[in-house]
Amino acid sequence: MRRALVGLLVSGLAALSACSGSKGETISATPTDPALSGRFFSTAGESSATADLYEGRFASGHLLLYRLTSTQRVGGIGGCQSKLTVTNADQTVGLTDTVQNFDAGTFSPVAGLTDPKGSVLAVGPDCRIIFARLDRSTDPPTDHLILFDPARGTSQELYTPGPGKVLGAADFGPGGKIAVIEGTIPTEGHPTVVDGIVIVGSEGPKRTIASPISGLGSLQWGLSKWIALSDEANHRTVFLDAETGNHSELAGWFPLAWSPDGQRLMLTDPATRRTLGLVDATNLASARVVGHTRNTSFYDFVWLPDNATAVGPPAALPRRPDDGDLPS
Amino acid sequence: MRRLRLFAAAAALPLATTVLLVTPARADDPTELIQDELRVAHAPDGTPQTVVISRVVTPEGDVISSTTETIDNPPFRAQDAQFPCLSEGNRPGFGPRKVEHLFYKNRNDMAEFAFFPYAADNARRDPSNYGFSKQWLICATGGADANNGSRTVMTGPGIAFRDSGQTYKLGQNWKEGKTPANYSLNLGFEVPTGFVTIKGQITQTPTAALRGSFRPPFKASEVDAFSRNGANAWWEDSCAPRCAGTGGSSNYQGSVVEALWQFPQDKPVAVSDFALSGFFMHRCSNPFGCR
Repeated sequence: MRRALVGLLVSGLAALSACSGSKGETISATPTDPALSGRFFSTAGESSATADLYEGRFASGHLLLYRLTSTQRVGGIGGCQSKLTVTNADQTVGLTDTVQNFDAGTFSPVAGLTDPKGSVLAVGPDCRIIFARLDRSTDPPTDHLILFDPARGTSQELYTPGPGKVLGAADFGPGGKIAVIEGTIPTEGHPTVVDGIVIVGSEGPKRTIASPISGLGSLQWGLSKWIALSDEANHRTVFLDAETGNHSELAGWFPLAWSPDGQRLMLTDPATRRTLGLVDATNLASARVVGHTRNTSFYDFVWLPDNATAVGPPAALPRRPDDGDLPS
Repeated sequence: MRRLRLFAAAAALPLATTVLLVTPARADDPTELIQDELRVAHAPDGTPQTVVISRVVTPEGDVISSTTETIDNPPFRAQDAQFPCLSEGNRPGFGPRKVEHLFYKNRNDMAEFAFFPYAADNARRDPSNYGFSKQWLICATGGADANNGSRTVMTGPGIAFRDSGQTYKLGQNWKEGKTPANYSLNLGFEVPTGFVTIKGQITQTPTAALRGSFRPPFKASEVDAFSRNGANAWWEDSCAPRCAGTGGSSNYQGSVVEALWQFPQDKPVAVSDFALSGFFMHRCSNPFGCR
């Protein structure tokens, strides 16, 4: 009888620990949908100004979000196989955007990056980082696109728009090329007007192609031939072929991140940014819903391969009821 | 028995008539609890003004009557006046905006509040589209001093960006807690904003509490509509809200609050887009009225 009671107690404790949503919780990493294989990180929250860092997992038909930070000061995000890089603006860095690495629940300086103040972050598959640095010492301030190579510990200024111009979103593309949005500097009552997309080649030559969007938005390129741009005014994604200038549209969605192989694009809904969708490169005209949240909106997003080692330990913060839900 | 009732009624009549003939001045009536809400305003010619919304309320905060008057502010000295809310180390990009004041004085009470706004252009970029954002920080301080039997029940400043539909506030700071008796309490705090450091400081010796909230302390306040973008801090006597006898303070009391907001760079924002308020609840402790 005593043995039976002990056995019951042990099995009960095991069942309780399996259900626990606290630190150490393990969710099967086997997605029901092979199109959703990989690791997903996002800056998300109730507003873009107070966003935190989350890891998302698709398991058993659910989207589960795991909050990795609680400072509400995470801006952009980028990642490669071994590193997750963010722009952090918490009190430890003076509340302004600062390029830092994130791992094991903590922010840390990027080794070798001597002036980390900047935003508009993207990380290439080889872990090189691009970001924009605003020089406030000039009037008007001038924007600079910086390339940092962590393997060499060197920074290089890739591009500086002319006076009165600023940079928008940027991303690495095929063959190490880089695309960055350029527009007018915003003033009161006059938001930035995009006047081109600058393509910087791996060897340095630059060319500007006409932009199919007029306001600032996200830009996702990756290994796809298509640059995905969010057309914020018209609530749609515009797919732009950087070589030909051809473009097509997907209404009702904004782009978040290409899959590591460039075959699928994660999307979010323009109205609330709480629904995740997926579009296949073979059919850019049709997307399907893969998950949503009740209160947490997605702002910047990274899709890494399954075997990525960026951010090692499991989430340290407990899940909250609104951190993910069944797809609608 | 009937004669007795008639006698009592007849005796009460002259007294009632007297009460009706005398219009009680603000806070003169010891049975009244007064909530004065002061608001920054400007005349068409730009003259700084204080709008005083004075409400007679129940201890639960329900309004019995209300009056509003607008008063031109007296000339204030510049920022070097000894206001206990000072900025330190202005740095490139973050600069001071026009300081605003509230001032109200009658024969018993005086209330004064000051608001110190700062703004930084291109402070951050929005992670959804990498558009530039600007930040506004406002530090506010002030309080009230009651005399001639008038007693302060609570007082402190409040700030809110006038938008009820969208949250722009990033954070706020105020001092909170029970204040010990016979101790001088320093409300000093510092918040680095990246460009400027704000220091709030006020010294007092209350046996009461310092409180703060997104919501204003007066439930009738229209500023409550903007609470998602608001920050309020106040000193509150331990007797509040049901003060009797000599309950309340006859010394200067007040508090300090600050908040930080972030807006898209192209959104026009001015000091006048913020509701800058001073709250002052008081009562008369003299059973014969405060004069």
